[in-house]
This record gives sequence, structure tokens and C-alpha cells, in this order.
Amino acid sequence: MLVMQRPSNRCWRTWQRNRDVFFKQWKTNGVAFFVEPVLLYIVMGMGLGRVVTEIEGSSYREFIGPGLVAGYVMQVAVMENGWGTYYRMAVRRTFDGMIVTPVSIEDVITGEILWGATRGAVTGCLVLLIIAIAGDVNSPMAILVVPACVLTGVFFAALSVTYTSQAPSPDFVAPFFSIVIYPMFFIAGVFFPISELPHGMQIFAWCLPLTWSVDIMRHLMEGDVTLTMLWGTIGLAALSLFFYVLSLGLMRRRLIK
Amino acid sequence: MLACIGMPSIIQAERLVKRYGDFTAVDGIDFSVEPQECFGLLGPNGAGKSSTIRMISCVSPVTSGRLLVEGRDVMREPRVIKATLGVVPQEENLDDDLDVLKNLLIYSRYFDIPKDEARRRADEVLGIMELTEKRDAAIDTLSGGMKRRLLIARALINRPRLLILDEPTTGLDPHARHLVWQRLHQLKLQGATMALTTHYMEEAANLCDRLAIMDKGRILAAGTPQQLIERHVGREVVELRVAPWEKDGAMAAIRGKAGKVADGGDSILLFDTDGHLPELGIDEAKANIIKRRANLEDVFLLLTGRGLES
Repeated sequence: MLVMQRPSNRCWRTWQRNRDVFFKQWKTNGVAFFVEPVLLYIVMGMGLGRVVTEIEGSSYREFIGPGLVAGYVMQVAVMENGWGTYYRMAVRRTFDGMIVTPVSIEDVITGEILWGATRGAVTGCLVLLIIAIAGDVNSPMAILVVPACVLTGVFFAALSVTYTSQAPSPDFVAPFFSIVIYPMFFIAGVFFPISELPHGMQIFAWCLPLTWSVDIMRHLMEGDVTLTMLWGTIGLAALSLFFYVLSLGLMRRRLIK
Repeated sequence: MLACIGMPSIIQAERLVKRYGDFTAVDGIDFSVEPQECFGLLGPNGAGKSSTIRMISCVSPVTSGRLLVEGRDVMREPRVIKATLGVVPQEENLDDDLDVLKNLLIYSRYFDIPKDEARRRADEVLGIMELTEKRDAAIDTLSGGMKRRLLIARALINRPRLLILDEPTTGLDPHARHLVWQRLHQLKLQGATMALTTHYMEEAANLCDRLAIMDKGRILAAGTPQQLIERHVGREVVELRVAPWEKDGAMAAIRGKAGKVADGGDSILLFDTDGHLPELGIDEAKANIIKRRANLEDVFLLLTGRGLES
């Protein structure tokens, strides 16, 4: 049985703490994650874009843009709530300092997830901005990519905190990337359409939450509405709630003895 | 203890138990802490002191029994209680990415202290802990003693009605330790209520108005340091040096004559002798003996048969 208490708006205290620390050192860890997707977008567009001139009616750069937005929301959120959360929880014992104040463990974990989601979503939005400046956004509906980034961020943040709650050491964060996150990044339709995959792989790809997010982002930037976007949104929201509640219970079990 | 009507105890523990799975860390203890008192839990590692402190801090659920802080149940109103506590952890957990002042300001936000007020209080607590010059220093430039003092300063930011200190000077060199003691004495003079754990006899004797000696989850004895010493071991201790192969026989002989005796490692400790040495079969002129004042370490040794550091 997992026991937990209702979190309060003091979760923002944890969020604020993480924000303040981030701005002390954003030059090193903030810019790095923004440079990578932008570089992929430009370089892949220049290189592969010459070979693949058209893909599902778009240029190659138009095709990978939305996928990179979703993929980097995921990577940044998972990174923040993987190593970042582990460091604050077990290495620096920052959580121990917070929970002896009116901030509860549920507030701390909620704040951690909100912070991971924020970092992911901000990265996604910055990539979106670059894509828009480059002229690869074809619809005003693209503004809805912003809430889609938030939803994607919350899901992957909650997933990552759940994983971190079970990690016995920081060494366990890296395999989560190599076994779960990177394969998802390459299969979820970021770089090529899922329809190019063999049938079995297509079904598998559609089971991945990142696929839903990429699908939502891509359709929003193209300006059309599909049923898959609705299912994807419902799926991400439901799984976010599931992993959020699970992470609260598992973290309480780990930290409150 | 004095039951002051209308003035509730700051802490009240009744038949308090803490279990981790099959292991019983705290085994049904009773104690209370009164306003403006410095109360200490003295005992070796694993005695259950930290578990007790963590329950008072509302971060470790009570297994059974009752634990009240200012009349409130720690299991029912943790958030209200935590707002009135200042907790100094055993393990340093400062934010080393931030400077000294920012550490205090961020901590003050956890208590919803407004920004201007927080700045005023930060300067105030840095002054109390003699860290004013380090206001803008990075955490990793501070010495161990300064970090400990900063942890205490941080715990004071919400003007707590109870200051909880878990092994406040463990790991510090003697000079840094004395500085911390000096600051805690100052807080005592200003009327702070404190609950602390320690396995240093000297620290307990120095700071605490009242003590509970703990071992294996139980309280073996409680009282003022002076009371504990006088009640259990008397004023004076006689250290009797004998050859190792004679020690066990000598101890048995003395015990047989109703003397209080403990194994002090390289000597035999005799308590409460008060001029009865000849009756115990010891010739003061011939035996290799040292007389000294009794201390809390002796009390612990007599009650458990082991030293505090073991």
C-alpha cells in the first residue's frame, strides 16, 4: 500500500528553489540543451534535406521540426528529474532540509515534477521559436504547441521522478536514457514517418507516449486536426496523472521512514 | 518534573515507539521538554536518539504511543508544528550552488516569510551565529564549523519556538565545537527551548539543563547532569589499576562486597566509595589508584557496562 498526503501550493517553493539555482548556472546547463535540437534541426535540414526533398508533403526540415520539439521536451524533463532529482534527493539531501519546514514531501515531489516540466516545455518552446523564425511553421494553430509542450513535459517529468524514486544510485539514471529514452526518440517518428516501418514496429511505435506527442506537435504545426491528436492528448494526460500519483507514493516510501 | 498549569510542555512523549520493520529503534520512552529548557538525549550511536528527533520533526511517522509538540499531535498537524520548529540536521544539507545569504533567503520562503522581513532576519541570524562577514561567501569556502553555524542560523530564520539539534558538533574540531557551544549558550540565555542529541558527555554536561540517557531504544535514566551523577555514581570515582589477569577476579571480589564497579578498560572504576575503600579490601596506600570527579560517561558506563563512544 502506498500512503500519501495531499500536496499544497507550497510545491511552488521547491519550484522556485530550483529556478533560483538554475539561474545561477544556466550558462552551462541551460544553453547546452537548447543548442543540440537547434543544431539537429539546421544541420539535418541542410544535409539530409538535400537528399529527402519531400516527406509527407513537407520539406525535411518542416518534417523534423515538430519531432525535435517533442523529443527535446522529453530529454530535458527526463534529464532534470533523473540526475537533477537524484542529486537533490540523495547526494545533497536538499529534500531533507525542505521537509522539516511546512513544505511536505508531496509538495517537494510535485515541485520537482513542475520544475522538470517547466524546463522541458521552455526548451520545446525555444525550439519552436527558432522553427518559426526559419519560416517552417505553416499554421497559427502552432501556438497550441505551447500547451502540448507543457503536457509532454509533465508526463516525462512524472515518469522520470517515478524511475528516480527506485534508483539505488545515480548510475541507474544513464541506463534509463539508453534503454528507454533514446530508443523512443528514434522510433517515435521524429526523423522519419512511422508508416515507413514494418507493420509490427508501427504498432509498437504507436504504443510509445513520445509518438503521441510528436503526432500532436506535427499536426498542430501543419494546421490540421486529427482524431489521433485527441487520443494522444487523453493518453498523455491519463499517464501523467498515473505516474504523478505513483511517484508521490514511491517517494514518500523511500524518504519518510 | 514541574507540571506548570496553563503552560503546556513544549514536547511530551508517552510510551513512544518507533519500529523499522522488525527492528525497534525507540522502545516505549516517556519524556517531556519544558519551555526555555535545553533537553538532551545522550547515548551511543544506534540508541534511538535520531529516530526520536525525526519523529519530533514530523518527518518520521510514530509507530505507537503519543508525541505532542506544544500540545499538538505530530501525526495530525505536522505542517502547523513544522512552522514553529528550527531543525539542525546531523548531515550538512546546505545549497552549495548558492551563497550564504541566498541559502537563508530561499529557506525563509519555505516558511512564507516576506522578502524584506527575510533579509532583516537573515542579517540578524548571521549576526547571532557570528557569520556576518561570510554573508556573500560561497558555501564551499566555509569551514566545517562555519557550515554548522550556518545550519543553526538557517534553523533560526523562522524564529522557532523549539530548536532541534541532531548531534550539533559531531565531526567538528575542538575549537569549532567550542564556538558552536558558545553560540548555543547565547541562545539559551535569550530563552530558547532546545532539544538536542549527542554522544559527547562533555556536550551534554555543558549545554543541557536536563538529560535522558538512552541506550537500545530505552531511556535508562533522566535528570539534570548533576542529579544523574550524584544519584548513580556519586561525586568521586576511584580508578584502580591492576594487572589485566587480576582484573576479573578483583571486580568480582569488589562486587561481592556490594561496591559499585565498572570495567574502565585499562582500569577498574569504583563509584560511590566515599571512604569505604578499606571495607572493599583495598589498601589506599599500596594500591595504584587515581581519584577524580565523576562524570556522565561514568553514569553511562555503570548503567550499560559500555562506553559512550563504543
